[in-house]
Amino acid sequence: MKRMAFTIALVLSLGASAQSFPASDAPTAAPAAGPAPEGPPLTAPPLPPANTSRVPNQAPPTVASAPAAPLEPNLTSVLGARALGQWKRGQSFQAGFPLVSLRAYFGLTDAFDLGLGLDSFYGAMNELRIAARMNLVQGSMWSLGAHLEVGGALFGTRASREVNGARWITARRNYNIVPGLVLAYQGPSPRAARVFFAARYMLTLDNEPFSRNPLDGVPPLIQTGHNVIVQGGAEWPISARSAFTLAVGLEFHGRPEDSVMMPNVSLGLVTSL
Amino acid sequence: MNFFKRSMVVGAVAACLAFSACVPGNVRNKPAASGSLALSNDDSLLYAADTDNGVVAVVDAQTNTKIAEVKVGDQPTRLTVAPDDTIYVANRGSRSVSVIRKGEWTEAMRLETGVEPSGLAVHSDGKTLYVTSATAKDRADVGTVTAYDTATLKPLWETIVGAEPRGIAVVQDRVFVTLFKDGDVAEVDARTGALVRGSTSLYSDANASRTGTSTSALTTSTFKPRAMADVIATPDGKRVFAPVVWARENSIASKPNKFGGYYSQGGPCQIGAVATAGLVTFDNNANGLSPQVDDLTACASSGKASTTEGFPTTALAPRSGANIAPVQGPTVGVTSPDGQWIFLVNRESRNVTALPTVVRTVDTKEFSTSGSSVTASGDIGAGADGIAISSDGKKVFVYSQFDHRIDLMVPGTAGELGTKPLVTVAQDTLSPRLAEGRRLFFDARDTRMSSATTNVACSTCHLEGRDDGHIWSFPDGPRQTPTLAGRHLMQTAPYHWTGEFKNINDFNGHTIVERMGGSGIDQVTSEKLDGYIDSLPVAESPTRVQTAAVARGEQAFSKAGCATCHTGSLMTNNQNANVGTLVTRGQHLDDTTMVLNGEFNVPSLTGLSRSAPYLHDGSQTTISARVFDGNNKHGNVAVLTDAEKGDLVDYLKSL
Repeated sequence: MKRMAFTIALVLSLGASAQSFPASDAPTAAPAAGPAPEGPPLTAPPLPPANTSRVPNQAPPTVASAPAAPLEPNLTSVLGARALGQWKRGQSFQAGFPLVSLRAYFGLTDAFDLGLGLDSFYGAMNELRIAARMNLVQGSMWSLGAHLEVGGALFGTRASREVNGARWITARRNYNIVPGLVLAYQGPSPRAARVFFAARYMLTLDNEPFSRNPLDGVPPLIQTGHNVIVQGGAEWPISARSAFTLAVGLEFHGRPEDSVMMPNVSLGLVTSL
Repeated sequence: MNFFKRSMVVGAVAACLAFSACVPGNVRNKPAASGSLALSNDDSLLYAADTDNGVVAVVDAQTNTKIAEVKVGDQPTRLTVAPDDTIYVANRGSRSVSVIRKGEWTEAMRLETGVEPSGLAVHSDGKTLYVTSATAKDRADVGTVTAYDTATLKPLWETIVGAEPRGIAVVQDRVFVTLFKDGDVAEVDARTGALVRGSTSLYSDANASRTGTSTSALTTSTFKPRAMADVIATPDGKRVFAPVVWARENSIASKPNKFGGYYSQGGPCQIGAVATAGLVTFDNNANGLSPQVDDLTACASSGKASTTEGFPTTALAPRSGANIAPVQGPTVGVTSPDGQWIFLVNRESRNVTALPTVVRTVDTKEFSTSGSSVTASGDIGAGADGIAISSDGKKVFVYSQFDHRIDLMVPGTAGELGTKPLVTVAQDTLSPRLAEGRRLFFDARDTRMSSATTNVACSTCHLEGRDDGHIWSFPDGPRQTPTLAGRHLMQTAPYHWTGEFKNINDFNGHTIVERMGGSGIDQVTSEKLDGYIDSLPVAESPTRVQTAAVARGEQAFSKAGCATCHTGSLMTNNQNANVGTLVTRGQHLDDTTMVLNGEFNVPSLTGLSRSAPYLHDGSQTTISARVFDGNNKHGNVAVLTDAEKGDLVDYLKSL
């Protein structure tokens, strides 16, 4: 319960903090009048004489409005295919079923990101992942990327003692290797939602195998599992640097002792703040 | 070394280190076995100790053919294989252990032991052999563990561990020994032989609610573990298991045969019979063995210390209507090489059952709704008392002693194990009549003997034809299970403690039909069963010797008038007598209307030293207590001096 409350609070606070940064979206504003900060005196250009007198009942003068500066496009994607760009970073937080996930990417080149991630089955399984993303095709609206995540998971319960637990639900094991392709589309609008579709293969390496039936014999030291994960969703920009996310998908599990299929759904936030 | 090679080596080492840190350390690379069957270390040979024939049969495990037979001592019952492939065989009938070297197929040496040796274990370093003996060499009331140097075959030490030790397991430097009738485990230091602990908290833990202060007890009885014939350690040594049969301690109600008879109900949480097979789990930690058991009196599955239900159910009874194979008379067991499964040989239900060692099954999380974690079961032959599992964990062999046959358990359909008979290694030495009688005596699944819901055999209480040390609360009062061994049933009518059955047919009709819930046996079958019981030899005793004190004790026996009733070769006049033992005070009373005139049938005294407790209600735990504290109505011991009483005790122990 505490964990869920914390999760909700975190999502809300991230969302609120994203909303509280209009400056990132708005054209650069003139500095507000007021006491100048301490420091070396600045040489300001002479200001035009200002008409500070206000005549009661006099209509305000009509001022021709300057054209609004174009919105800075939101290109910070973590779930999608587009790389962040060199030296840029992006983070995401997602909560849902079955996992709570954190990702932090850093752009090493314009087309290649490296990152760290943490997936948790609400404490029962916690997996630290190293992630990499490469932009394979980048069009004006379409992009195709390749993802690779490699993780090591710690489970709260020994495999042999777990009945329909984290392993059964997530199909993950001690080590997981997840390559995949992500196709994403973002409309021309700077705040257009990015829609993505991802297909991943998850190879699991289980170093806690045990005989599940009485005469199964001694299991191999490492037991592999083959799984397929498909996921679709969108990132809805709320600012130039932040976006809400929704992802839904299905996981198809290959090990007979795992659930055959498991849906996944998550809500979250992507930001480059 | 070039860069590529160096990289490969570094990578390989790193990978090995990474994986080795996570690989469970409990994978055993050698076969495991218990009881009368074992495998050679390379899985190529099977060794079966045939008790009737006094031989060890050597069978090629690939061709399933018998390739040799080694004559050993009398009644070889258990054997074990050392790391160097030396075979040690416990000769229960000749107070010895035979030593056989692989490939030589002759008895290389015979070690002297205590009385009725059974359990054998070799330390993992191969340097020490440990042997349990049912009694010490000079006392019948306690047994011993003896350690032998396997290089010199000389004894290193001998330790008294309690009454009738049986199964044995060595985990690192700790020796665990089961006390057969007491149903508990003692611990001995493997190096010094010091008795570390004589018992565990098993009884109090399994009866926690009823014996403690809690008012949540849901059952109407406590339950005593007994018939603990084996102790089985997981390969990593972190867990130890012991099969038992739980015996109801509080009153047993009269139930008509159509409901399964007296014994059919009253098991833990009303699951199973008054005598219910079970499996006790112990966590092995630095402070000794910690029982992980269900609270049988509160119908709770939490056990004492476990919060995760990570142990198999403590009772293994099939719930009525549940698709769980009956289990009765567990004798020996092994765990799979990865420690995930335990296989139990159930002599009386004639099957092998497999249970998970660290979880309950999905549908048996709550003890109160299902009494068994048994997940697979397969039928075997009669009198099974040996099991071995191959080092790859895929082959489980079982030896059915009465059929002299080795079976291989194979995967079957869901919930079942298949059985493939491999080879018969010896022939019956008993006559067909007695052999059939023995099968009946040990059979809980023959519907003539017991109903499917009751699932008990004669041997469920008369363990191995002897007694179980238990006092049952029958409708007519508290009754100790009398031993049948050496007491020549057919010559000691009338039967039952109150002598209510004038002949054996009346007795069989009542006990088999009304109590065990069987459909009954005909006259021919009855003669087979009775003939077998009549032939049971008296339990061996170290005090069955002729000494001057025994001779004087015999005179004291007459002087006190004991011989008036305990007369003849079987020490009974087959009459009833009131010797002032009617229980009229306390919790469990004799029914004075059922025990006419307060009289009880005079029992035979044969084998007295091995059949404690004494009197019909088991109120005297030792012969000495009986003689020194006895009332003068039951033998006029007041006329004896203390010295004469001491001699009398020696005499009684010599019977």
